[in-house]
Amino acid sequence: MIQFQNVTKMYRTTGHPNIILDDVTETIPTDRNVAIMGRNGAGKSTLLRLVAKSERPTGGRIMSRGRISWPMSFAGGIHTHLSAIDNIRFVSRIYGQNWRRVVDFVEDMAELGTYLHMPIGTFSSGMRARTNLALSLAINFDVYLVDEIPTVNDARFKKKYDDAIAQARSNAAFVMVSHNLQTIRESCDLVFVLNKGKLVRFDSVEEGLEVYKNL
Amino acid sequence: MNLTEKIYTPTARESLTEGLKIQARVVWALILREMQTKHGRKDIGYLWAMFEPIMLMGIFFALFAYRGMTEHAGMPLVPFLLTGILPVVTMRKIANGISTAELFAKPLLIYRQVTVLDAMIARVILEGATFFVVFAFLVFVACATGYSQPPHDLLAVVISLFMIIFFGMSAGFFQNVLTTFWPVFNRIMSHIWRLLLFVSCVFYTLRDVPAQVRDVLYYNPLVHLIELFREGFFVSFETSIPGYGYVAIMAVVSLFIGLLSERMIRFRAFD
Repeated sequence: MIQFQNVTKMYRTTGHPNIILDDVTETIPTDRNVAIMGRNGAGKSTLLRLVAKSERPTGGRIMSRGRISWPMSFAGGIHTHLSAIDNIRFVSRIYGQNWRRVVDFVEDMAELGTYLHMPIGTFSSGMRARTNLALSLAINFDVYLVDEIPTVNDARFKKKYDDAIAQARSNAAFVMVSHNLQTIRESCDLVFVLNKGKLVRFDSVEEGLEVYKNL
Repeated sequence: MNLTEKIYTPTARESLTEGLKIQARVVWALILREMQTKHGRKDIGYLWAMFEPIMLMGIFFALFAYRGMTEHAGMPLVPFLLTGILPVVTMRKIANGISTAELFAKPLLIYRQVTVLDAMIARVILEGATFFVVFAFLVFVACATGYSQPPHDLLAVVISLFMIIFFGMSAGFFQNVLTTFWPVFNRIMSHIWRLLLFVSCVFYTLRDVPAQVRDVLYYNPLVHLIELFREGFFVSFETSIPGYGYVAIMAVVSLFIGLLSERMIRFRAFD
């Protein structure tokens, strides 16, 4: 359960401040799969960073229980000059995980081969996506925050990754930001629409999507 | 596997010891990461840490030797230069390390347990440990080759090493605050650190300079640190510096200002 208590978030920009969240009090359940929708720039990614405690709210409190992932997105906290294995070791260490197990898991999922010891900067975008996704799946979180699921389209990997995500889904909750209506229909039970600083809950996915389409 | 079987990480607020455990884990991971990014893994890597002080010592050693000197005020030349140059280089590295830690840590802040303060602590520990190792190694080599005697008062020397690290850290936190408000300050400071090499009794002693100059040098805490360091190292050297009182006050005050401001400006790091 992720509780927002009078949460305000704004960025100072030249001119008027950009208000992302305006005194939001809301509860995001973590026993269901949640989609967060909103127009570009509405602050969906910021919302995930706030939940992940990567960023602090300007006002109010966000309380949560359980292990919450970092906001999974394309770039993440991956250092492009460091090799894949050094990045994996770092993340494993800060989460108190045995890095050998995590490396094995990522190797098995992403099949990096000799690239395991190469800087991430030399990776193709497909390899990067596979590595990032595998790394976050390797650490058992209770809640995965997903900023647009990195798509693994390569036929060779698609099934493997779909299975791994499905397996993670059965143990953990997903809170995801997506523009893909199909993905949300397939995998979410609950929709929040973020618009003009307000977060509105829709228990019916179709109803939420309808509101989103008319934004 | 169900939810209750998973490893549960409480927030720092829930338990202080758990919080400290997580912080120790993060600092350790940052130290290891730092060693990789800073010097790379392929070449001679961490030996680079010794390169700068050894080069500086080489230059001064050549200058002194050219004038036919093998010792200064009863101190053999090699350890005399070592006890002067290494502290200044170390303090500069620690201070600059702290004030640029935010830049280094920023992409890592997406991991909730990582803070800028952790990155600063990691750098102090890494530079401090490097200082110990480089100092011990160079003294060992100098003793083995007959250029130096082992330290006269080992405890005093160890206290000196810690005070030098502590002062560098305090100066770093102070430098960090000014840098946050005025980014150019970091560049100015890196030049000041270089200039400090010439006004901190690095290749002379307090007794060598005229009384008027000495009165000014007394205000430089680095002079205190180096003079006391040498007093502990050399049996034949005595300084007019009474003790660590002045250095300690300077360090505690700048550490206090630095940490307090770090807390107040922390929000900016996340925006």
